[in-house]
Amino acid sequence: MFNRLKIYLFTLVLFLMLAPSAFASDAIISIDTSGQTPLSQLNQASQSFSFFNSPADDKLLTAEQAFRFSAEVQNNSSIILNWKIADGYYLYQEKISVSLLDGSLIELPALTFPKGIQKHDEIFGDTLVYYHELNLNQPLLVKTSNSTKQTHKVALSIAYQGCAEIGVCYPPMKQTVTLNLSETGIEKSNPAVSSDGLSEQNLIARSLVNDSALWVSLSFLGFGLLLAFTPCIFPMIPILSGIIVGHGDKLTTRKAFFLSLSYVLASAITYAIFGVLAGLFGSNLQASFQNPWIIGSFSLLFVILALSMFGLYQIQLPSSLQSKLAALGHRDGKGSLINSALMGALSTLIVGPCVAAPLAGALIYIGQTGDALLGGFALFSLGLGMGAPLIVIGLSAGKLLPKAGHWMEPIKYFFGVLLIAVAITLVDRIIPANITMLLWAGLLIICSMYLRANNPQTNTINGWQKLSKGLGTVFLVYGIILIVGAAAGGTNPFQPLATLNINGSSHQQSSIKFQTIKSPLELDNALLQATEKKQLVMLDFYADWCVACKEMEYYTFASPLVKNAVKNILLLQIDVTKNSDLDRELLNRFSLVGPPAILFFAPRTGEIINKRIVGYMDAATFSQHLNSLNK
Amino acid sequence: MTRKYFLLLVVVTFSTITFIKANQVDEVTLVKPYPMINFNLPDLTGKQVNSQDWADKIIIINFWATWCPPCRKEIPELIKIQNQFGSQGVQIIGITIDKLGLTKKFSEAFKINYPLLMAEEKGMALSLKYGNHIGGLPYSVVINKGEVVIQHSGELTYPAIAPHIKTLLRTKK
Repeated sequence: MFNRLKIYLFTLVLFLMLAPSAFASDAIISIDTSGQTPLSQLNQASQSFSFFNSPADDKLLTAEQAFRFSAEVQNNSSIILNWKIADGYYLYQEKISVSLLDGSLIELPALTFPKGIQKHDEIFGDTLVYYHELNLNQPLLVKTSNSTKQTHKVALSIAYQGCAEIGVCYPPMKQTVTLNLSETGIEKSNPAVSSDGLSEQNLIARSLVNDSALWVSLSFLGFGLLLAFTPCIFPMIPILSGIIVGHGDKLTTRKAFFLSLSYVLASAITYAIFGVLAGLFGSNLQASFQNPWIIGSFSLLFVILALSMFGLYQIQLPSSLQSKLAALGHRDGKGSLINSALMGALSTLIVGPCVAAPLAGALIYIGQTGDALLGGFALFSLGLGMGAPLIVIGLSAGKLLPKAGHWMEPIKYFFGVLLIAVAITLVDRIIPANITMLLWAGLLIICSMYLRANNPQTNTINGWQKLSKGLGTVFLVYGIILIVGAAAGGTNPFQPLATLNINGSSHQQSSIKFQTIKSPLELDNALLQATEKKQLVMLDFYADWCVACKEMEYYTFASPLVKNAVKNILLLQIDVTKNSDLDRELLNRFSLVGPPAILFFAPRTGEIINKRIVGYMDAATFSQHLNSLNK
Repeated sequence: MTRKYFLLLVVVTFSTITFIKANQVDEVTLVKPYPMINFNLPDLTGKQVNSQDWADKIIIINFWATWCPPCRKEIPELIKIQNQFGSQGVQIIGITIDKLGLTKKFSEAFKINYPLLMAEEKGMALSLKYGNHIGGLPYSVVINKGEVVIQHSGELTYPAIAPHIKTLLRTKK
């Protein structure tokens, strides 16, 4: 039940951060389409509905998805080439070739192919093809030479070509594998997977048309609409209506619409610029959040913003500046669209600080994707969402202007509470966990006071007040439990009394134990050991500042189900909290932007890329995922 | 209980639709029309040809290669379409992701009755711009009045495409 509560809480508190990433992780996990469970069918179906012109090729895979290539050095004397071939796809034997790209230090003896399957072709006759999986052992003959005392890089080019049973073929593909050659032989090295083909631009364009981008933009539009109903938007209304009213009687509805539209568009474009910047400077944004000073000052900022929501003071531009802006709108009698747009962009900067908290969440999310184009689109949608009600107001020429009144107060309080919650979530990364619990307790108890939990019960209160009182009481009791838990050394706000368990069975709730990896070398050694033992490896990228990582730790890894499933798996963890050079190197090696990420390695074939997990996964799904590896 | 049935209904409906969609192999996909992308490519004699040369026709662009069995299989179908509709203003253009020598031999052996343009890797990039997101071959698009109206991955068959061509020809008049 707490789990559920937590999920709601997180959706509320970090709505901008978490909801889009949930979509994103869905998209990543669903790449594995070989399992025809109803769920994956559902997923496919929903994918094909997302575009009105859903092309027939949405049931087809790209070449990279259909033929997953990996390579691993074995015994210093050969390299294993592995293709995981999706169901309904096949590779031609005669099109597979390995050639040396550079370095005459080694020789490549001829490949020996396993028995293929005969496939009849009306024109070419019978050809040999491979289905499902192909493992090739390419021996490497190192020429004895003095120069091998130093490490040399040798690059192999592997070419292959295949088709789908359904009647589509893919152009020949090339992968480059780089090996390190030293006096001890050939070292394992990360196969640089570089296919010749799509330019970066095309890839970005592709990422924009895929579903997850669409969903991200849609969700941002929704969040924008939500934000439009916060008091943040109110400073914009007098400015916009100023522009419109400035036209006096001559104003047509059409003109009012275009004025509001250009105002809103300009505002949205300003947001889009923020989004593009966040995408460009991407990964650093979240990484910089590991610095205690930055975290500290941000959460302080959030508390300051929250207090303004509680009405202790008002944050806004100096009123002189604000009225100057509004006057500019009024004076501008002819009110060209450009002027209106300029005001829109300026107003965004005014409102900016007010929506800072959700905006920061959005920017961090975009930073994680590292996709400038997506970032731009997402924040543009956010801006449009926020502006939509303004267009309505503009159209009504100010008639529909909502009256500031008592009804706004609860909304402000609500956002105040959210902002404080964000502040606590932030400092959670740098302060002891039981202090965090105390902070949550404080927030809950103060909330309960606002909800009048302790007001004496009288007969005159109505249903809503009873509800509020009831909710407040729940908050009050939970707050007290949290204080008790914290005092007893509890650390998990969702199981505050775990440490008070009489049987001492709190151990049951401890997470699974990982072996810590600090450097690429350590990782290589650990992977090598696992290969010798023919053991599966699970590699978890973790950081203190990563919310999903903590969730995994609290819920998923603590589950007996998962503990059972990982029994025979070598568990490795890389803590990238500090974001050191070594951390970056490890992340880059797997092309990861940051945690959370869980990678799996098979004994001989290296990383099982389609089994990668990015984002939170609950215990049941996770243990299923683990079991799918073991088969 | 009713909720369970409702969920079941949803799952069944989705699966059925997926199943139907997954089995529409021969069907071509009508797309929201978008402007054609112009190109300038050499033909088998090396002469540069511009896509605008056929601007007034219904154009079927077929991306193909000699090393691709399904591409070879569909060529008789394409020849048939060109024979049938060529006089009414339909023009097939083959964009070949291949080497010139092989293509020439192939063209002679199959008696291909429509122009083949040589593009190699550039052709794949062009096909991507025409919506070939999976990067497979063969891939075809139908262009009417300068706008792409049909996209199709995989073999194009006469029965699948002919009704659409007929409709387009009717609206043209």
